[in-house]
Amino acid sequence: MSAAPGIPRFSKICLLIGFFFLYAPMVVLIVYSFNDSDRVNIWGGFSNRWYGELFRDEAMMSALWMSLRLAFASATASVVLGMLAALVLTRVRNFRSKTLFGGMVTAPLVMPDVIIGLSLLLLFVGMANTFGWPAQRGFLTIWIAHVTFCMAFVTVVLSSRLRELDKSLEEAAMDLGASRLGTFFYITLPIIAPALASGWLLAFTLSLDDLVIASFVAGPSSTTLPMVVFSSVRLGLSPQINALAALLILAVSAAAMLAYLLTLRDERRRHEQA
Amino acid sequence: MTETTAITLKGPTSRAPSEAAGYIELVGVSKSFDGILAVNNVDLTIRKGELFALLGASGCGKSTLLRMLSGFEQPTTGDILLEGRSLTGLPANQRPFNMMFQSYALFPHMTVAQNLAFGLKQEGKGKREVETRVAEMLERVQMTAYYKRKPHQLSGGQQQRIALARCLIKRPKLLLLDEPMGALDKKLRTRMQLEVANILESVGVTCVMVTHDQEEAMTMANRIAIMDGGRILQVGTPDEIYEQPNCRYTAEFIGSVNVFDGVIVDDEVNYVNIASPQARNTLHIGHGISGFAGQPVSVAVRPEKIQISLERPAQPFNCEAGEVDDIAYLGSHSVYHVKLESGMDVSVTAMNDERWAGERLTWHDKVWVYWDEHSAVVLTS
Amino acid sequence: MSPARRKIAWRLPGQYLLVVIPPYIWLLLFFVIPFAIVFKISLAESAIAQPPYTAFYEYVEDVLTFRVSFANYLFLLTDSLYFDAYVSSLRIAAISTLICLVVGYPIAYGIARTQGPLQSLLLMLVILPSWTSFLVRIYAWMGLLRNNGIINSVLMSLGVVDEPIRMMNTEFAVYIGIVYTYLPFLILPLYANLVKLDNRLLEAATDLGAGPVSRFLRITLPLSMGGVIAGCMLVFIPVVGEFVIPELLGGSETLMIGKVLWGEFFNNRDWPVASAVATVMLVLLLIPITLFHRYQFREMEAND
Ligand SMILES: Nc1ncnc2c1ncn2[C@@H]1O[C@H](COP(=O)(O)OP(=O)(O)OP(=O)(O)O)[C@@H](O)[C@H]1O
Ligand SMILES: [Mg+2]
Repeated sequence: MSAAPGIPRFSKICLLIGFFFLYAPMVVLIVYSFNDSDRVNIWGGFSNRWYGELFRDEAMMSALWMSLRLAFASATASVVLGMLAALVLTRVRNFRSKTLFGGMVTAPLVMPDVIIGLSLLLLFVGMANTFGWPAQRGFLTIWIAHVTFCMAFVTVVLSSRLRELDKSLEEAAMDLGASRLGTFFYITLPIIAPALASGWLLAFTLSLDDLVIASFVAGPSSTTLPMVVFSSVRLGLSPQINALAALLILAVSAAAMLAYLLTLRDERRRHEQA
Repeated sequence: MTETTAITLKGPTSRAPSEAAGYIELVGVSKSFDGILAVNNVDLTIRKGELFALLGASGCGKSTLLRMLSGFEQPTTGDILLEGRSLTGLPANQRPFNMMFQSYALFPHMTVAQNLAFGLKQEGKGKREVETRVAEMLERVQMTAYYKRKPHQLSGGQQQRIALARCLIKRPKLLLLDEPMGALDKKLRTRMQLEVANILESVGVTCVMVTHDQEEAMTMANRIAIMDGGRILQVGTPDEIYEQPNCRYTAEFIGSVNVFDGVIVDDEVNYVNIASPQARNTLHIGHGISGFAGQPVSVAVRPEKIQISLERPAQPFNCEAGEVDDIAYLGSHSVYHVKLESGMDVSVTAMNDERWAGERLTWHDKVWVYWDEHSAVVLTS
Repeated sequence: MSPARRKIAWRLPGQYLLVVIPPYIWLLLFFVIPFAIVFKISLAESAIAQPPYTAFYEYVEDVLTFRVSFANYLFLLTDSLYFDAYVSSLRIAAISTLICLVVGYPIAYGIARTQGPLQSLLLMLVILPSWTSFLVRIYAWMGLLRNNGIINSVLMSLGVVDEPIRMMNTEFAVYIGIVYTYLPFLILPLYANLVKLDNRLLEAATDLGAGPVSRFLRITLPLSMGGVIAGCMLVFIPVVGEFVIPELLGGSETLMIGKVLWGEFFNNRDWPVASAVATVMLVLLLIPITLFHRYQFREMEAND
C-alpha cells in the first residue's frame, strides 16, 4: 500500500488488519460456494452444482423476485421523498416545526429495527381495524416500511450534497428568469444526479437487506429473500446459501463499484469546476 | 486568451451617461439581518448608461445592496425605483436586471452555448431567435470557437466573458457585477478590466459593480460610491473622489494620503489658514471653506502633490523641514518617507527622471517638503 | 404580491409548501404515530382475540370507559428476565461500541491522512461490506466460528489446540458479529470529521514542542469529538435493539432485549408485553438519540 508520508505506521497496520477482518470471511464464503461436498466445512473439490440448485429452488427464486421488486419500488419512492426532505432541510427558511422535522428525518437512521417493525405493524393492524385498510399485509406494507427508513439515509446523502452545491448557481438561474421549479429541474437536479443515483443504490441495498422490519410487517403469504435465508440459516449451514451469498456479494460489489465510479467522476468534475 | 483585441481600447470615461435625472433610484433603503443593519438608509441615483461602482471595505454592505437591486433580498425599509416605478416585491426572476456572480456560477452541466441560451429560453424566445442571439453574443465576446465547451474547459478569463455574455444576452435594463475580477489573478485582472469595460461600453448597458479594489473602480467606473458601515459616504467621478474627498475615510481609503490634524486660524472667502501641531509652519489653502476659527479640521495632501528638495523653498507656508527616513524605490518613481521636525511621517512621491542615480536624495538627507496652496484638501469629518 | 398572498406566505414556508408536506405527512403517519400506538397498546392487556389485546376504550352501559393498565410494566419489573436482558443489551452495546472505536479510530485516521484516489478507494473498501447482505456476512462468520468450522480446523491442523475452541453461541461470537457489521458505521462519520482536520494545527503543535501522543490527545482527539459521538451513537443505539446477531451467533446463551421482544411477539404472541418492552427500550435510548441529533444538527449548521 503506497500511503502518504503523513500516515502513522500504527494506522497503516490497523488498516491492513481491519481490511483483512472485513474481507477474509467473504472470500472464504465465496471459495466454499464452489465446494462439491454436501458438508459445508469439508473441501470436496471444485464444482458449481450449488449454483444450479439455487436457481432451481423455486421458493428462493420467488422470494428473490419479490425482494428485487420491493427494493426497486422502495428505492425509487425514498429517493423522491428523500429529495423533498433534503430540500426542506437545506433550502427552506426556518419554519416553526423544522426541528421536529429534522428529528423525524434522522431518527430512523439509528432506531433499532425491532422498534420500527413492531410500531409499523401495530399501525397497520390498527388501521385495518379502523378503516379496513390495508386489508392484507404484504408488498404494500413492506414497501411503506422500507420507504420510511430508507428515506432517512437518502435524505442524509442528498442534503449533504445540496449543502455543498454552490448556491449562486441556483440564484443565477433565477436571475436569468427561471422559476423555482425550473431552477430545480434544469439546474439542481442535473448537477446532483450522481448523488441521487448513489442515494438510490443505497436505498436499494438497504431494502434488499432488511430482515427484521419485513418480518414484522409482512403478511403470511409474502416472503422476502432475507426471510427465506434467515429461516434456512437458523437451521444451520447450507451450501446453497453459500452460493447465494457469493452471488449477492458479487452483485453488490459491482453496484458499489459503479457507485464509486460515479462519485469519483462527480468529484473530479467538481474539482475541475472549482 | 491572447487572441483578444480587435476592439480599440478606449478609456471607460469616454462613455457618455445621459445627465438626465435618475434611471434607477434607491430611496432610504435599509436592510437588517437579525436586527443588525447591513445597509443603512442609502439614497442613490444611477443614471442611464453609466458604469457605477460601489467601493468599500469587506463587510460594509456592498453585496447586500447589490442583492437588493437584483431581487434576492428585499429591503427592510425604503424603496427601489426603475424609471420611477417601484420594484418592491418583484422577485429576481421577474426583474429586468441581471447579475454576474463573483464565482461566475456558470452551469457546469451545460455547454457555453447552452449557458448563453438559458436566459432567453426562460423568456420563451423562439429557437431561431435564441440561436442568432447566442451567435451574436459569442461573436461580441470573441468566444465563438468555444461554444461547444463545458465551463470547466475554459480559462478564468474566458469563463468571465461567458458569465458576462450570459447576462448581456438578456439585454438587461441594469447589469450587476459582484466583484467581477475577484476570481482572477492580478495580471489577468488588469487586462480584463479594460476588456470588460469595452464590452460594456459597446453594449451601452447601465451597470452597477461592487468591488473592494479601488484601482478597479477607478479604471472601470464613471462614478463611484464609497461605502462604510452600510452607509454611502461620497458619490462622485473617480477624480472627484480622489482629488476632493469629503471625509477622512474616503481620503484614506483611496490612494495614500498625508493627514495633518489642526484647527482653523482664520477662514476667509479666498483662503483658509490652519495651525497643526504636526507642522511648524501654517497650512494654507487657497480657498475658503466656511468654517469658524478654532474648528478642528484635517488637511490631506497626496504624496505626489508634495515636492521634496534640499533647499528651502521661497513660500512661507505649506513647507516643513525634515530628514529622509526611508526610501521605497519603485522604478519609475520612489516614495520618500520624511520625518518632520514635529515627529510626523510624511510620504512624498517623486519621479526618478534624473539621468543618473547619484543625483537622487539618500537616507538621512536634510530636506524640505512643500506643496502649493491648491494641493491640499480640508476635511471637516 | 397581493396582501392575501403575502399573509399566507408569512404563515407557511413560502412556495415550498408542496415540498414540505409530502415528507412531513409521511413521517408523521409512518414514524411518529406508530410510536403512539405502541405506547397505547403497551397499556392494554393481552387477550385471545384478533388483534390479541384488549380495546383501549369501550362503552360500558353507554359510558365511555378507558381501560388503562400498567400491568405490563409491572410485569417487566417483576420478572428478572427483562431486567437482565436490558442490562445485558446495554452492556454488550457499550462494550462493542468501545471495541469499534478502538479499532475504527486508527482506520478512520489512516484513511483521512491518505491523499488522492487511494483515499476514495480505501473509503469504498470500508463501505462496501456494509452494502453486501448483512445476513450473508453473519452467515460467513457462522461458517468460520463453528466447532468444526474453518478457524478451528486450521488451528487443530497446525497443532495449536487439540480440541476445537467453542466460539459459536457465545458472547464472543456476538461481539465479533457486531464489530464486523457495525464498524463501517463508526468509521464513516469519524472519517468525515477527521478529513476536515487542518494539518497546519498539528504542525503548529509540533512547532510548539508537542510529541505525537500529546498532539493526538490535545489536538486531534478533542477536535474529532463530534465524529466520535456520531459514530458511537450510530453503533450503540441500533445494537441495543439488535436481534439477528445474537439470534444467529449468540445462541441461547446470550440474552438481548431485541431477542426478547421478538420472542414475545412472534412466539408468545403477547403484543402488549412486546409493546411495553419496546417502549422501555425507546425511553432508555432517548438520551443517546438526542445526543446523536444534537451532533447531526451541529454538523449541518457548521456546513451552512
Ligand atoms: N444572509 C445574511 N444573514 C445575516 N447577515 C448577513 C447576511 N448577508 C450579509 N450579512 C451581513 O451583512 C453585512 C454586510 O455584508 P455584505 O456581504 O454586504 O458585505 P460586503 O461589503 O459585500 O463584503 P465583502 O467585500 O467581504 O464581500 C456583514 O456584516 C454580513 O455579516
Ligand atoms: Mg460581498
